[in-house]
Amino acid sequence: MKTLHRSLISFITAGFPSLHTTREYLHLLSEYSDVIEIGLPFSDPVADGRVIQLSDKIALREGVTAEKTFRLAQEFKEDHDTPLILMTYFNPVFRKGTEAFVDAAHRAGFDAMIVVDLPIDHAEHYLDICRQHNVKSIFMATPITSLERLKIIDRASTGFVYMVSHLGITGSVNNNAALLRNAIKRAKGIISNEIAVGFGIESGEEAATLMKWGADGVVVGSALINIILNGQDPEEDLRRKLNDLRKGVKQY
Amino acid sequence: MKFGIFGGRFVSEILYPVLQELEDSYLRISRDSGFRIKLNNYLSRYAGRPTPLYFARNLTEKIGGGRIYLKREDLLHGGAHKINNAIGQVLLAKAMGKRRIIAETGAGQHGVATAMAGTLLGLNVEIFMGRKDAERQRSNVKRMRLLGAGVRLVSTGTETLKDAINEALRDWASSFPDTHYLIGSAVGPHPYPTIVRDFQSVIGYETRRQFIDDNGKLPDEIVACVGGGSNAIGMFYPFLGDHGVKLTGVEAGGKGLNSAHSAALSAGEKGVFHGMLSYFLQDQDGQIADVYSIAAGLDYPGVGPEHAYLKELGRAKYVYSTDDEALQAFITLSKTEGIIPALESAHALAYAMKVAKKMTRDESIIVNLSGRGDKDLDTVFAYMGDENAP
Repeated sequence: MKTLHRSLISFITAGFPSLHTTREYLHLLSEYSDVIEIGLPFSDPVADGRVIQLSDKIALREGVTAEKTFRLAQEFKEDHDTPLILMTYFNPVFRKGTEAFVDAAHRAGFDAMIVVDLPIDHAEHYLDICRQHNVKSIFMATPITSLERLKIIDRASTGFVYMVSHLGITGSVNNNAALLRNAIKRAKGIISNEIAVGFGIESGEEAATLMKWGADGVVVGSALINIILNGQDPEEDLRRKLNDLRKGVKQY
Repeated sequence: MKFGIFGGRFVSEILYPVLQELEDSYLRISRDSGFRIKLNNYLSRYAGRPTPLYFARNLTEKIGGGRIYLKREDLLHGGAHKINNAIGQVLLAKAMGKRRIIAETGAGQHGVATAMAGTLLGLNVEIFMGRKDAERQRSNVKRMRLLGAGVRLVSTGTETLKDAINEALRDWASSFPDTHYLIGSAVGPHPYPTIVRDFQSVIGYETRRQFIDDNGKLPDEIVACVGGGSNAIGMFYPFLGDHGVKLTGVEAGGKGLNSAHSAALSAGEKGVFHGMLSYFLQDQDGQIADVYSIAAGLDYPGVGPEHAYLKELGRAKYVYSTDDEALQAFITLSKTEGIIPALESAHALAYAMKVAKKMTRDESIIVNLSGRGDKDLDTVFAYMGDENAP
């Protein structure tokens, strides 16, 4: 993964709505996205809203495992060079063993990882392993993260810093735009990584605003999953949405 | 922040600073003498402390071995030990300037205790409860509503305690500025396992004093049921330095360890979930397992990190009782002593009865009777079928 440079980062849950269809959706996402984030489904996604919860549930019912997720990435990487981020909760990593997990992710072709419930304070070992295996580590920051903590997050992050748009869960709506705007501005002044903003972003217009405020990339997840769940013609609707988002990200 | 390797604060970046602030506030407020006086006042005048340590003569004679004592937490206001922690944390939340309380509940006892404490101290309360638990603990749902709490039914996952915690955590990720999450068990990210243990350790301190006053010595063994483990850690903690006192936690063996159960320490693996490194029932891939117990309050796939630590140290032992054993103990205590125990507590009692049988007459075993069983009558009678019902 090079630099973000106005990236559209699309998220999909591995194995949703089935392993076979995820493969097809990855192709589709790669046509519009600069980076793709693949979520390893988890039984209890406590940081996720209803839409991603549902996608996890469906994927697990399809029998998706870490192993199958790695194979999915590997197959994708055979004919795409779109950078891939693996998003996961910590327990699947811990259970397999951090080293074994990160190594497997790297060999599958993942360029970076985000571990939702592994804060920097518990990440020392994980960071060592990521460095050794050449996997980038992305950490989250929030609009109210203290400057002191933001600097630590910046130092631990390689790739970019993932700024959540607001305090809440994935897919929920941001109701404090001013806070986010200031947070992006403030962060840009003190961190060395680029910043991608995610959580609840739905339209090209919103994406354009975020780019205008100084974001280097935008992460879109729930809005895409929601189309796959509820769209009349998911493929067509998805293309329209991705096109809109891409325009928003690139226009400014 | 840790109990050996266990515990920790494995949460998203949003909640990390919130927990940090909670820890700082707790350390400051809990040392304040005004806070302690207020807490003790409510515990004695509102909740009914101290609770008796009762020598169960009839049960002891029936079993024919060691002397069985019951710590009567079932006599507390609300019918369980949960009120000890609920009052403590509501007072803490008030001192922190919070206006709203959210809590999860399994059997409903923690929800009821939180609703009571919230009403008493003037904070809004919202309780998250799995739909399956709400069905098997209907009377507690009614009590919570009557006490003025909102009850949010959770229909995700297994619709039990674990899912109620998930949903409470999701709410808290945006509501934390004015809301305190009042965790009811000794689980979750730091500082919760410590806060809950501290507020519950009144059980063990009282028991220790009462037993010594009556007998001039320490008991030989103490037994408590373990779901997340709040009543057990509250009972064990003051005895940790008394190396002659055996400490035994009893998990829910459900239909047996080869079938459905929720015995995380007996059959689980180390994992990281709900903010803590502890033991969890999970599959090879680290997905959290669907668990089961006849007792809604024990129906949780993990266990508090301090119990994991005590197991690792060898200071406490963890065993299990099955649904059937707990039911037998439920009936036995009702028939011998006129005390209807909670199904959760009946797990501890079932194991204690086995141990007491092998003890000599001058040995003593204390069971923490963490709650009363009125809430379980429907479950027990349905399980046994009308013709076999006691």
